[in-house]
Amino acid sequence: MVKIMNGSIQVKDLNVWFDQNHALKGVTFSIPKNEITAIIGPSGCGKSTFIRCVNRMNDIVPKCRVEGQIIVNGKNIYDPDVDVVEIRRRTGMVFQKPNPFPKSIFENIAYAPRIHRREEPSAKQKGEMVVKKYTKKELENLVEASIKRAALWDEVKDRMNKSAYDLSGGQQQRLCIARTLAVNPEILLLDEPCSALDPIATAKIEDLLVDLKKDYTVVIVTHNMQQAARVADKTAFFYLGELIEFDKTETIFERPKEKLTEQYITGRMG
Amino acid sequence: MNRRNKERAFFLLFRGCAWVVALALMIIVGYIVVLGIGTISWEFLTQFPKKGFTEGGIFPAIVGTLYLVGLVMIIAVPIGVFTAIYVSEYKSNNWFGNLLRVVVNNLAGVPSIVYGLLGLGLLVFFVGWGFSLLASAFTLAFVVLPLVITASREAIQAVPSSLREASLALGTTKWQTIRHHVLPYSLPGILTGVILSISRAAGETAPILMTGVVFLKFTLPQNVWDTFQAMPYLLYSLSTQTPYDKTQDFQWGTALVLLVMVVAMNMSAIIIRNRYREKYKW
Repeated sequence: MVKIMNGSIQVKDLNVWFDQNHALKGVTFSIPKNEITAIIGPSGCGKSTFIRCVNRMNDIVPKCRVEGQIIVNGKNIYDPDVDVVEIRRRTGMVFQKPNPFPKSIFENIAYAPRIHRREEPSAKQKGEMVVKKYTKKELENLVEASIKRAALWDEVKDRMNKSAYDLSGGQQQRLCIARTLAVNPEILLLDEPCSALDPIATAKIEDLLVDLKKDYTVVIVTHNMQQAARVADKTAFFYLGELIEFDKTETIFERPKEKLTEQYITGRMG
Repeated sequence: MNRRNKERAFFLLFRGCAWVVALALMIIVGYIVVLGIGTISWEFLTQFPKKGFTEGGIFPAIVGTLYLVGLVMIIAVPIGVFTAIYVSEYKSNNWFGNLLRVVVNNLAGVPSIVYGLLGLGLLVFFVGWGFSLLASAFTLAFVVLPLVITASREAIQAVPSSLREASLALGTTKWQTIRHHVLPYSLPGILTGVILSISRAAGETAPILMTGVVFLKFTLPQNVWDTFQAMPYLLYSLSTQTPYDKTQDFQWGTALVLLVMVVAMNMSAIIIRNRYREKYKW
């Protein structure tokens, strides 16, 4: 029971198939709140498949079948009565390749809040929430706050109406993080967010993630073991669709219990 | 032949073919312009024909063609674009989706006279719309639908899936993603299909000939149940049913107006398309 209280994401016997290919096999572990959890493992081990289960992004992949449970805030997100769109709103995702919309920097951030609008306590009925449109000023404040939170403000504040494609790769990726933060998620999923970036841009994102974990539960897929060692509190090692080991990052890198983990982190495999 | 001469020979062959195309186009357009320009006048564009197509103008045929093209677009563009969205954005990997793909791919090759007969049998008689603007517009809509669907589908599928995922991951619905991202980004490609179908609809004769167009009529179409005149059919009738030496000015004049109209419609669509292409780049 203690575990359930701590963990913000409980994964129970998660199995995923793509057509006949059994991509994830009986994965069970708990991802704690307000920490960074890294998912490592060789290519094709199911790390991306796993992270895409947490916001049900695999739903849009044809012939993908998911069994098992992922429990967020005590609720299995694979229950039939769950609203997938709401799950995705509460679970932000940043992708491997920066994918800003071909719109202005401002519009990239403002898009989702404008659609979701905002909830505030009703003036008429106590305890009720009403959905309201953002005013122009509120939206501008939200965009500014989100970009500041993603440590990008000083670089873009003078060109909010320029295309997001004028930014460098690292800036684009931070813009994508800001875009996600603007909808105020609880969980932040990052799927190899630095694989297309240079070391300086990577360092900025890593600093940002460490700062963000105060407010969010962060799950990062990475094929860069140093990155996992640098930023993650916990690390999960996946191999051929199975969760081999999950522990504190120091333990995984210094005293792994499993032979496979040791082989992987010492570079003898993968 | 040594290697260098061979290189040269093939270069000249390719360039020669390009010249043939350019010349043929210039001759066609030039011929129509030279023979037709003398007929063009304010009267020709705004008057009903008089004295067996030797005086007056082709106003009703211009209006008829505009009405027709407008109606065809109103019918075919939404149906075509929505079908393309269904086929490319929703799980249509079932018997219905597969059937749809086969039908669309093959419909484009059906001769337009066959559509004309379909319109006559199905819309004019079976459904009972009679010879009418509406029957012609629907028949022509069938002709251009495959163009609209194919172009729209290709444009929609060219939008990177990473952008769809970005939008969905923010907790927006599929429809919001389509409405705010997929459709705006694919609009240039969709407009290309629309451009092609405008030209096609404005120039087709066979489908309307069997469903609603008339040679001579002294009123404009009052509503969609009325018969109408159209430029391609006027041209066909003049050249087959009147003496050439009497009506040749009218024939070349009509051809020029039709040509200019199609080019003007294409140009405006291209301008809109390019504006959107500038706006959304990835």
